[in-house]
Amino acid sequence: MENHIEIEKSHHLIIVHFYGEIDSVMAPVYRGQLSDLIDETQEDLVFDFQNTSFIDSSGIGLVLGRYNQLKFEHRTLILTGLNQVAYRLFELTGLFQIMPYYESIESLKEGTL
Amino acid sequence: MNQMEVSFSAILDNENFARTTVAAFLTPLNPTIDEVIEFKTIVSEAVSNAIIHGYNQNSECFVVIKMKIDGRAVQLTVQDYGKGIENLEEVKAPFYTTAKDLEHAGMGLTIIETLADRLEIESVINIGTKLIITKSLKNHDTV
Repeated sequence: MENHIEIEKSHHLIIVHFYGEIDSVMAPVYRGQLSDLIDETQEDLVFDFQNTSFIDSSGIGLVLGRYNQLKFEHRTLILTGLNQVAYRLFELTGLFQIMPYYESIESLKEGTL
Repeated sequence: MNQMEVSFSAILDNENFARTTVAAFLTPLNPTIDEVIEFKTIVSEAVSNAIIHGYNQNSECFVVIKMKIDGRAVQLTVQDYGKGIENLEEVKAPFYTTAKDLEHAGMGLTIIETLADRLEIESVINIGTKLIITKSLKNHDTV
C-alpha cells in the first residue's frame, strides 16, 4: 500500500486517515502536511490508524508534536485504530494519559453523536 | 541453525529494506502477525539509531544486520562503525533524545527493550555501536 494520508471533515472534527507505514522517512513528510492543516483550521483532530500497517517511534514523535501544536490553541487530538503492537508502544509512552483513544472511527462517531 | 548477514548504506530510505529483510528471514518459522510487527519495529528503531546517531546519515557508511535462528530463538545484531555512545545509561532512559527539534521521541531503546526478550549494547567511542537483541518466537502448539 502506498504511504499517504487522507483528510475527512466530519461532525466538527477533522479526521486524518493514515495509510501504509509511518517511519523516519514518512514522519517528516506528514509533519509538514499536518502542521499546515492545523494552521489553516480551527477544529479538533482525529488521527485514524486503522489502515496503518506499521508505526515506529518516529510516528510517536509525530503524534506528540501535533498534540503540542494543537494544545497551544486549546484544541484536542483523538487517536483511533492502532494495531496491538503500536497500542502497547503508545501506552508505554504515556500518550493515552494526555489524549483520548477509541478502538475505531465507528466507536468514536457513536460516542460523539 | 540458520544465519544471514546483510549490509546497506546509512540512509533512512533503507529502513524499509531492513525491516522487510528481517521479516522475510523469519517467514519459515511461521511467526504471528504481531511477532512480525514486533521484529519490524525493533529493526526500525535500531537501524534509525545507527543511521542518524551513529553515522549522521552519511551514505558512504554501512549498517550491518546479522541474524541467527536456532529453533525458535532469534538473535538479531544491528551494528554500525560510527561515533559510538558516550553514556550508555543516559541513552537508555525513556525520552532521552539529542534530536528534539526533529521530533524524535527518545523512545527507541525503550521500545526495543519492551518488545525484545533481551537487549545488550556494546559501544566504543569512534569505533561504533552494536545492539544484540534476542527474542524467541512462541510455539504454535502451545498457543
